[in-house]
Amino acid sequence: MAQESLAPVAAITNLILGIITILMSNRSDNQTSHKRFSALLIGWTFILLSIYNFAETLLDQYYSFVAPTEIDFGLVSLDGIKGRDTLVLIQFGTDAALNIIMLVMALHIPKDMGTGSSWNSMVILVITLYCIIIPALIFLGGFKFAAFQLLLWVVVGIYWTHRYIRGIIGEHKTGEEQYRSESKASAVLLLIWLGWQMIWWLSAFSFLNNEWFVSVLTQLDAPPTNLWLIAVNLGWSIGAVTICALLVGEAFRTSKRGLSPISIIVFVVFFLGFANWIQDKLLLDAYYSCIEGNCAPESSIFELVNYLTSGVLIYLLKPLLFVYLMVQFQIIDTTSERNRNLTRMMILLILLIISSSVIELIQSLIPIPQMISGSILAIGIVFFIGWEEKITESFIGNANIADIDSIQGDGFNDQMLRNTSLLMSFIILYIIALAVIFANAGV
Amino acid sequence: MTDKPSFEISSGIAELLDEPIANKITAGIVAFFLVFVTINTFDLVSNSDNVRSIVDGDNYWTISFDEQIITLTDSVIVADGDTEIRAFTIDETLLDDGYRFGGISVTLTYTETSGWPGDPPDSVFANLIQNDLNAQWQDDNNSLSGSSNDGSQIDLDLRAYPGYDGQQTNTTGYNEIQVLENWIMDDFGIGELELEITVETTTSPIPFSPNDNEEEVNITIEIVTFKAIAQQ
Repeated sequence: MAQESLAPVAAITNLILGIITILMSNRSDNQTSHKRFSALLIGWTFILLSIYNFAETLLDQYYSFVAPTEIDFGLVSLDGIKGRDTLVLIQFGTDAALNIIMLVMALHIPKDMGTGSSWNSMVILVITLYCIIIPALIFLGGFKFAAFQLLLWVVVGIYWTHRYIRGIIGEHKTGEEQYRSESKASAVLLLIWLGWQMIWWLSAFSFLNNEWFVSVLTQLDAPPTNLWLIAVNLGWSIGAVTICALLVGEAFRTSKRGLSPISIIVFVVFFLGFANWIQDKLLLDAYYSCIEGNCAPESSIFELVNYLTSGVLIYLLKPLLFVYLMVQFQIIDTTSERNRNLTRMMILLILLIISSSVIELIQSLIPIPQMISGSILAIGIVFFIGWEEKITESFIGNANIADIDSIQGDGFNDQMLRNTSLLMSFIILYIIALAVIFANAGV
Repeated sequence: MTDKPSFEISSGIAELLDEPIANKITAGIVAFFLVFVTINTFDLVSNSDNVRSIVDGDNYWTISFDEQIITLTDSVIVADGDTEIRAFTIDETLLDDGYRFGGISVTLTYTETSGWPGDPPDSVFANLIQNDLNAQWQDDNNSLSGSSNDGSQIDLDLRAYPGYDGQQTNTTGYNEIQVLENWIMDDFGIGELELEITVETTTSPIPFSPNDNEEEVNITIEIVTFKAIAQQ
């Protein structure tokens, strides 16, 4: 039951989606500049995710696999192999950039927190300074500093949760669609950024995550500081709290207004918490075996469970939900004739990649011959091509006025938008250059 | 017409906080989050300390065993020169919650059945037959066969649980679950215990005294069950 990594699929998907999104943002003259800036943020998020996933793929292919958690907690160390160290440092750098973009995204979507040109300039300045200073600090001060970025997850998690609750209550009180749009956008963004932490909610509440972490603690040469242990706790704690808030909100809304696709996703993610709790419970002996200095290998069935839950959420659901957000809320101008082909390309690409990945997942579970899975994929492609017009229309047509109007903000001028893209290009080059320099210097 | 300020955040904050119920719920969530993170961190720090003490080698545990004995009895009359096989079923229904089978002791007793003072006791041979019963058949402490020709009892022993001898033991480990993991395995001791008994009667040297040609053998089986308890 061996599975192929989803990281290369995610790397290519995110790269293409990133390029398309940035192109569409630049072509969306009819859109508000705030939406164009939001699209740019999402586009560059795709590009950064792609670089992160490419580094992850190359590490897995040529050196050793580095799990996303190891980067988040700063558990990786340099081992003197320049290629490997460069890729690890690139991951740390892009991770830092993604964290600050997540915060900026929270301050812009669904609603802009501030207004005025200075506010917008400040936002861009914060991204720049963070991306310049934080990676260098992490490289110099020790990778464990990376874990303190989880504080941003908490801020963002609480912020979007508040926006979500505000939307749910507003909709209940007034019945106005605009409130549902706000809660929907907040829920989608929470699922995008914190979804893969949410699936461990029951393990977090029952402290089983801490037992899993025993296997990590045994690998440390020196005792960790309490401050770092607090930081480590923040990620899964905020994931657990936010999914419970989403669950209560969606259950309440479903009882009043019926089931929605977002409710289903929230319920599924919540349910996965039980599956992962059982997994943790069954793997306790394997975790404790690490204390004896010889970790028992985890069974292939649990690797498969991880692949089907965390893997799918990290690598596949993230781009899918971003595309949904952009199309549903018209962050990109899908109505413009100039963007028509790019919109089609984006929707078909994401559908095709997800269906091929799902087939791959099914093949992991049931060993069906490749001839059959290939045929199923071919049927899917024919279906997508034949029904391309209708599929695209159904995606774009679902956007309602309330959703479209819910993304509000103050104006950026064209110069600022151009500068944002220039700046993000510079940041990426800076991160790569910094990684190469530090890896070669052997810091 | 008024100029738009170049930096304005207060209206955004005011709009964010304009719903009192949402504010209260969020405040509750934040309070819960802080309490949860604090408790969670204490637990994680405690785990970290435990791991360090293990790594540094000073986290000792004493494993003791609470024992319960299950007794089965039977008797069999075996004719001279014959061999009888008695089977006893040992399964989970005999166990109390949390207990495992540790070992099996078999005691065979008999007396000379003729009742004549001069008639010497018969010879009895006993043997535990190795079969599918899940036990430590190769353990050096086993006593799988025995015999008697003077009426003394025959004792047979079979270890069921690996490493179990009823004695308290010391170990190092991270927590109770880890140190007890070797003592909570299932299925040991389960199966059919087959006991083979052979009798050879002895003729009395006294002329005209009655001779018996069979012997009644009493069987007592004591099954030791145990529950491991870990203490620091």
